[in-house]
This record gives sequence, C-alpha cells and structure tokens, in this order.
Amino acid sequence: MAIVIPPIVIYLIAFFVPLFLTFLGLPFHIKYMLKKEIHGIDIHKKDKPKVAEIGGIIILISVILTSIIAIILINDSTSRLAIGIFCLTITIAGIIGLVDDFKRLSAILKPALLLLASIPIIASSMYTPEPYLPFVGKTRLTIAYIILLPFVIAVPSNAVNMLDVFNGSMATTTIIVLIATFIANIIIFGFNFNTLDLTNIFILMMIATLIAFWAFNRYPARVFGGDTGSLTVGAALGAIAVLGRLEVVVIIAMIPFIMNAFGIIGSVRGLFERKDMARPTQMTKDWKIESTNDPKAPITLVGLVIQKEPLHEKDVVKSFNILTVVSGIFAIIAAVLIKLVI
Amino acid sequence: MMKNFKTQISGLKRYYQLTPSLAKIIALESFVFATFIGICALINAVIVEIPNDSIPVIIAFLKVGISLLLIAIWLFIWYYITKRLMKTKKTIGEEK
Repeated sequence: MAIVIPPIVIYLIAFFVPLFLTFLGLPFHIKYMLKKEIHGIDIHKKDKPKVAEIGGIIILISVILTSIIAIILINDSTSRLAIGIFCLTITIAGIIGLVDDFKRLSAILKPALLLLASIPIIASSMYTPEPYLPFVGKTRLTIAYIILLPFVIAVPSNAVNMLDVFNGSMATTTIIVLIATFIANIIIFGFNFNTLDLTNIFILMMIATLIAFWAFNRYPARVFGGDTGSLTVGAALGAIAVLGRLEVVVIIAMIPFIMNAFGIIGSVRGLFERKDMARPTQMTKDWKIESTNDPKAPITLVGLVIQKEPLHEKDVVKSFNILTVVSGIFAIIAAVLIKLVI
Repeated sequence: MMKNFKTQISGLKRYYQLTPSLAKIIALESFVFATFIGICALINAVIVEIPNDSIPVIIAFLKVGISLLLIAIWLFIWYYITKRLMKTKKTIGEEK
C-alpha cells in the first residue's frame, strides 16, 4: 500500500529543504571558489574585495534536489510531471547562465538561448492559454499564447539579471515578488491545507533558497549569484507565472524589473553587454553611488533612484525594495480584481 | 542582542526616510498600473466577449491584434515617461 504524505508535510519540505541546502552549501561553495580563484571584484566597496562567484549554482542545485524529493513523495503523476517541468525549465536557464559566467555569451545570444527554456513547458502542454486579466477574467489566446510563451520565461530571466547589480538586490526584490505572487495565488485560487497547490510549492522553494542566499549575498556580500543565479530565479518566476496561471500578477509585481530592463534596452537602442555601454553610475569620494550624467549611458532604475542625491549601496537596495513592495501591492490588487470576475 | 535590535530599527527607519525621495518613481509605477487596469477595462468593454461557438479567424486575429496594440501603446508611454524622468535639469538645459 502506497504511503500518502499529507500536503502540509510537502509544504514544509518545500520550504525547509532548500533553505538548509542553500544555507549549508554556500559556505563550501565560497571556500571552493576563492581557492580556485573564481571570484569577482566588488567595485562598490573602497577596498575592492574579492567575492566568490556563481553562487547561483547552489540555488539551482537546492531547487533540483528539493524537486526530486517532492517527485518521490507525491503520488499524483500529473503533479510529478509539473514539478519535473518546472525543474527542467529553470535548469535550462541556469545552465545558460553558467555558460555565460564562464564564457561570456553575446548580448543577443543569451536572451535568444533563454527562449529555449520554455521548450519543456510547450512540449508537455503544461500551460493553459487562457490567462486571467483584471475585469476581463479568463481570456482565450491559443495561438498568440504559444507565440508569447517563450518570452514569458526569457523576459523575467533577463529582467532579473539586469537588476542583479548590488549586494542583496536580486534576493530581496525577488523574495518580495514571490510573496506578492503567493498572496495573489491564494486570493485567486484559494488555499486549503489538505490539497496540494503546486504553485505554492514552487514559490515556497524559491523563497526559502533565496532567504538563505541573501544571508551570504547581503551587504557586504560574500558571494555573487552570477548569471547562473539571476537567470535561474528569473526563469522560476516565469515558470510560476505560466504553470500557476498568474501571468498578469507576476508582470505587475515585476514592474521595477521591467522598468529597468526597458530603460536599458530602449535608451541604448538594442541589446549590448555591460562593458560595451557607458557607465550610468560612479562612486563619490565618500563611497556613495552617483549618476555619471553621461547622455550615452543607459536609463536604469539605479539612475532614477540616485537622481536626487548620491546614495549608499545599502540605500539603493532599500529603494529597490520599496519600489517592489509598491508593485507587489498592485499585483495583489490585480488579483482581487481578477477574483471578482471569475 | 540589544545592539542588533537597534540596528534593525534604524534599518526600518531608513526605509521610511527613503520613501519620499522615490515619490516620482512610485507615481510612475502607479500610473503604469492604473493605465494597465484601464486597458483591461477597455478590452472588457469593447473587445473581449468569449463566444460559445468558434468565431471567424480574421475576427479573432483582429481582437487579439487590437488588444496587443493597446498593450504596445501602453508600453511605449511607460518607456517615454521613464526616459523623461531620467533627464536631469542639466540635460534638459543642453537640449534647449
């Protein structure tokens, strides 16, 4: 007779396993990376410390291992497939990030490759081409949805990657987006401890691993996530949006990310590597971040935040968090508006 | 422990102090959200009405096309305002 694991146990496993795996794995990773001299320089600090790179690999491994445990414990084959698809999607994005961390991919090739991360979702038909819109409720997009689906994974991945520029910024802002998505999911689809909601499982996994990652990535950072981390987390947000039918909610919660990506792409008229663009910021004598006022520099969220006065790195991240909390509240309002018509 | 608690409180205070300086960006976020909701209401009132039976492909394409066009206009306005916000007094002066 098969043992049925109560959903609450699965929820607890989905939270605590990646939390501990990331928390325990990162110190070893940091030690190993520094020993192998795979490190970056934290340019926003006076003493320019060496910081271990590619911490995102631990995020990816933690989520993969937790997904395997969940697949073993859950009896329902559809849920197992959905977890596998989620895991595969973020693994593809993570591997693209890993390749980019070791061998720089061109600014066009990277987003182009990220379009491939949606293949598992498309191939398994694990999507419903009927996104919910506020006031409108359920829409029917069919063909347009399949055309747009690769972008639902690639756009958040690149957007998170573009905002991962300061200590702790990626972790805290994406945790806020995930919390808003979690609340929105409960508002739209309800919550019952006795039934398993896979969207909540994915969200809990990501929140837990990011909390542990933040402990090492916060100011002053001991590890950088690298493109492996930002692309994995971004792809996870996209996959949660598609698999959980929360496309609009995630887009609204990610307004600051999109604003940043938008500004960069629009102002330099295309996709370029960071090193090929004029720097939008520089350090003041008292090690605050100020705008370079270079007209050729891309429009970034940092540029908007420091427009009034130079800010300390910690304050810039706090500003990002405030803006994400605002967009998170909007995402919850959108969820209420969706709930009213479904 | 007391020192740690005080640090936490001052960290939260800093959030409170930073918020007014972000008023412009928060206003932009609010505008982006409000216009999106407005577009949804417009789509609901004018364009979308999910039929029980299948509709001609051309009409379906037209409906999706107009909706996407509205979203594209929304994105452009969003980008334009972001760009205007970024312009400092200095660059506006140079333009004049």
